[in-house]
Amino acid sequence: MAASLAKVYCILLVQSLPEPVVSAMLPQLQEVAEHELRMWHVGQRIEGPDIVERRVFLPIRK
Amino acid sequence: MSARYKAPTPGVIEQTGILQNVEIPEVHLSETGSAEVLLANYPWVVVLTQECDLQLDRFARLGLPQVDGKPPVAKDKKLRGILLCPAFLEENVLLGTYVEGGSKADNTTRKMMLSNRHERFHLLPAEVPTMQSPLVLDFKLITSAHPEFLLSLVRDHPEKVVAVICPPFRDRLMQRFLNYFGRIAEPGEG
Repeated sequence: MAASLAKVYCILLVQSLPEPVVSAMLPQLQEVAEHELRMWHVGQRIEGPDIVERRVFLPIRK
Repeated sequence: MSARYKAPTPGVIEQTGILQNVEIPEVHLSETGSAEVLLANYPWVVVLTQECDLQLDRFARLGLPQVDGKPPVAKDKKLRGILLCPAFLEENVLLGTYVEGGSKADNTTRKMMLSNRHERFHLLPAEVPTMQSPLVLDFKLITSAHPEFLLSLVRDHPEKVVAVICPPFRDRLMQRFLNYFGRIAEPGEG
């Protein structure tokens, strides 16, 4: 639902721009869109920090 | 192997060697009077200690000369720690999920990081089959491990050493790290 709505907004935005502007911006828009999509996919499977810590306590002889 | 990375020498710690899935012990003195051992598991670490220091440490520990016929390398060449820089998947660094409290990189920061112009980070591009995914080093998170600990790790688990970065990429990494580490901070700057 959100994806189709975003698509409609994108189409409306692109249609509102003059053609030379659209052709000049398309490569950059594509790069941004690909990056955001990749980040979204990665975000789905990432839960927390990559450094995993565990603690052990040892008595000290005095 | 590619031009950027080479196969590691088995059982040897090398400068810019890339190790994966390494658990490094850090010992602290707790308030209760016991020693607290924090075992931090890093997905990747890169060795930053100079190659010459690593070689001399190796010979000194074995009691061997560096050149045949010469006296053994003196024990004062033994190191107390080996400098390591953690590395993470590029995507996780860009999203800020690689570390607690991290934040997503904005477009400008992302471009700087990916072109190795952000002073805190260094990108290691993927090169199949050696490096399956691009990694990013965070110079702020450097840590160290005792040489004997690291040596036993690479001897017992040679599969943990993924590759070694080749010159000039190795030199570029070291240059960028030293530039970050040796920066002069002015009041109010991070």
